[in-house]
Amino acid sequence: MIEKLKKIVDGVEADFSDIRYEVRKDTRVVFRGRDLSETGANSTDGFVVRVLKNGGFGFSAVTKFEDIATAVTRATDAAETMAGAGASPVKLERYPVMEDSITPNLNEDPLNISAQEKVEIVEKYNRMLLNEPEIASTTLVYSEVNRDRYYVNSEGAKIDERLITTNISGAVIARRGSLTQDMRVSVGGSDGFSRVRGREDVFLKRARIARELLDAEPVRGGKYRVVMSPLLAGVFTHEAFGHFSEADIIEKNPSLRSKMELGAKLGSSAVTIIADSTLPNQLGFYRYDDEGVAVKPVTLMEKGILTGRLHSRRTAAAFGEDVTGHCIAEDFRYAPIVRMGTIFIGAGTKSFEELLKDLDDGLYLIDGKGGQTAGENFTFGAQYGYIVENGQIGPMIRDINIMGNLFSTLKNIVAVSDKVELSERGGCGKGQTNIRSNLGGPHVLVEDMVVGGVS
Amino acid sequence: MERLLEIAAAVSDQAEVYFVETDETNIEIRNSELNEITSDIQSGFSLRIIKDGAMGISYTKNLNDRDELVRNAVESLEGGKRVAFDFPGPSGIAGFDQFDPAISDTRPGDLYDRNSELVRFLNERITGQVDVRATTVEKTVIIKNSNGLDVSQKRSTYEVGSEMLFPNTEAGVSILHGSIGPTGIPEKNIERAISLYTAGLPEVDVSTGKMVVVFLPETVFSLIWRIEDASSGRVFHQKIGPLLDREGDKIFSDKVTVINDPHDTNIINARWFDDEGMPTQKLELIKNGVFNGPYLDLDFAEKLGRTPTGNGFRAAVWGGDEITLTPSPGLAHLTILPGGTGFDDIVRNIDKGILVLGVLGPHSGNILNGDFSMGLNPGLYVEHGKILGRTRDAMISGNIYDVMQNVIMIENEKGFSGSCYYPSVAIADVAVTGRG
Repeated sequence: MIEKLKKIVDGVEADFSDIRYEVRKDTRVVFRGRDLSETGANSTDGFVVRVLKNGGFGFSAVTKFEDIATAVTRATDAAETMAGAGASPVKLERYPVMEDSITPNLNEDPLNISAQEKVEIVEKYNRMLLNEPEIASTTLVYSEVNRDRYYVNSEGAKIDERLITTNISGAVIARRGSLTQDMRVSVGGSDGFSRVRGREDVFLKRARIARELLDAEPVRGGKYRVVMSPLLAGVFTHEAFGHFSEADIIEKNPSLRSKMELGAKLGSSAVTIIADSTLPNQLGFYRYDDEGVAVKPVTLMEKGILTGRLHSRRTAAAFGEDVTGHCIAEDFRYAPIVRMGTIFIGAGTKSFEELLKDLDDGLYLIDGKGGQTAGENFTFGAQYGYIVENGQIGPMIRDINIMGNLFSTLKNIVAVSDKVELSERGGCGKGQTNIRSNLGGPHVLVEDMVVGGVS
Repeated sequence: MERLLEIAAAVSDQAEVYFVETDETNIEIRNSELNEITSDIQSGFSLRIIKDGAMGISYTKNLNDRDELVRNAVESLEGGKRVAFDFPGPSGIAGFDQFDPAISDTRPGDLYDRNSELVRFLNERITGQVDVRATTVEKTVIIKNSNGLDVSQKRSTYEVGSEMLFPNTEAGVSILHGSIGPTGIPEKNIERAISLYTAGLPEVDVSTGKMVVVFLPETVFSLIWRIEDASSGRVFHQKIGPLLDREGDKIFSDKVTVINDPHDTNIINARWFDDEGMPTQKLELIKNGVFNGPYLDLDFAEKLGRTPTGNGFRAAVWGGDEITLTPSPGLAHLTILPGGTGFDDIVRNIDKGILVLGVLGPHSGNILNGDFSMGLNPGLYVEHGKILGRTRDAMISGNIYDVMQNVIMIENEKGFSGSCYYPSVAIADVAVTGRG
């Protein structure tokens, strides 16, 4: 395939062109309540062409091989339209020509596990959840996505890499009368099928929390001091801060770009933030991005000072900074954009118990439940939480959403704990879904957080 | 497609082939400069077969090997989903396309020219950053099955989303426009957005308490999403959710009528058949506050012993690639019946309240239960009928089954929300949390 793609790229009249072909294999097993509602394995494929000509950069994605010539024409037209419209000329940061072929290091290759065994393992967890008291229903999905990526460009790069992601996730729903409470659950990763085996404790814990939420009180709205759990802190790190570290987000927004100057003191000295997709056995792991650049670790913030950001070859040239290998596409339907892989706040020195003591009176909020940002403002849900009085964990609370401003919140982080935990499921939706977005951190103590509530 | 159906029908009791092809062009203008152009052609086939009461599914982008596609569907029969419904027979209904041929002639350069005019106009009127995204889509859907169904529809859409950002922020006021062909945005919509933007320039702190909250057309979906979730046939089959035993009950203010009308050809994506080939129909989900029952696809209609409502759609909450999704109950053509108050009069009638122009985190509450807790982005604060500015770090919270009892005004016309068309809805006594 690589040689076939090379021939196409060689025929493109442009300053630079590349083509990516992908075969995506999806396996899904879906249980809704006691019903098995879907099983199957399928394969889809397609091509993405990018053309740089006269300073314009155009993209086109097609599914049929016979449409590649159309894709080249459309991408070239788009590049010429951009150049003609007076858009800022695009340059690509120089990068060594790489030739490589990567297969993942897996603990049990999911493609070697039978369809029957995949159904059985989901059914086992599902049955276990439904046998718990007051659990009215479930949604459990086994999702396996295998991407075989083949990349060539006009400079001579030839790279293929296989990425496989395995996950069992969904929700457990507790019901008492007309009141329902749901709790998300997820196990999985990018290092093999063994990740989803023997995880009964995780599923049972989520069922217990869903049941306990039936007795929890809705949180009272107001301003609080808050301890965020590692995964909620990870949502903050990814959503509120991380997206501003993606160069393409701030590139055409002068006000944000000026705030995100490298060297700016944006956070308290407790905050160090790292993007590292080279961490082995983590969901966010990969070797090459979707324009053939090897990913490298980037310290985005060190002790509150902005020290780095994430780039594609285009944005690295536009910012005059180094390439980082973060130009990623969901699959063959999309041109790549700048994305985070693994991102987290670095560990501090205090234990969780010491952090609670420092909190004194406030809220302990646990696990993310959807988040959204608009510029520097963010809103995140927490799956559940507890009122903390005198450093002691008290009654459970529910219906929790926090809102804040990125820059004031970074300054309001008082302390972080000494253990980092990373998520097992991704799903960032920056126009395309990145199932390998991997986030986390330690426990994080923040002051002056707005929490919404009905009372 | 016919050959695939023949092969599939030969190894099953019933077979269905779904084909879709889309040709889509996007342009993005950021900070008044052309930033990106993409132009994609995507197509694919999805196969469903039923054999001995089990359903098998498979899909592909490239129909290189029909036998393999059928084999994948047959393999998924084993231990597969149990179903007891039949695919529909010949439709017998006169269908319609929802297509404007002018879309095919709209090149990326035309899209840019048309929308750079909008950018120039907005730049003359406001000081903040202007971003625009414009999209044209041509789409063809064909469904054939072994029971004789053969339906197809050609659709086109032209959508523009323009955002005027408040200075030094990324919060802004949007102008959303959707039509089946490349039409201009009505001037009054642009003027209303400019007027709200100008009024929202000062930043104000709002005190915590209950007040009138007005959801504008672009944010009404955050309320409707909750009723959509709870009234799905899937939820009724799972025996969960607050509407389970509430058919015929008054659940909202009698001012509220929620309709799903796929036959309204004034809207984009009007449909005469759903993604299972069933005829679509106008549904009054809630009439004068009374809940009329769940909406259904073929599978859940059979499971609940009810009549299908033509609401089987290949869609997920976050979009997704439709050939990879299986049909499930969905609503894609929702609206609220307009009331009798003009937008300016709604604002004038508020003693203390908030206009919700954008929400953050509409997906993060207990949606099935009807709960919401959302950040305002932006929200405009109103006192004595006058907009004082945009709110800083403010949230609204509640449960739709409580707050929708308190609807006090509904706007007398509808606006485009990005997918559906809603009027503004004003609700009394909604909890607001702020920094004031």
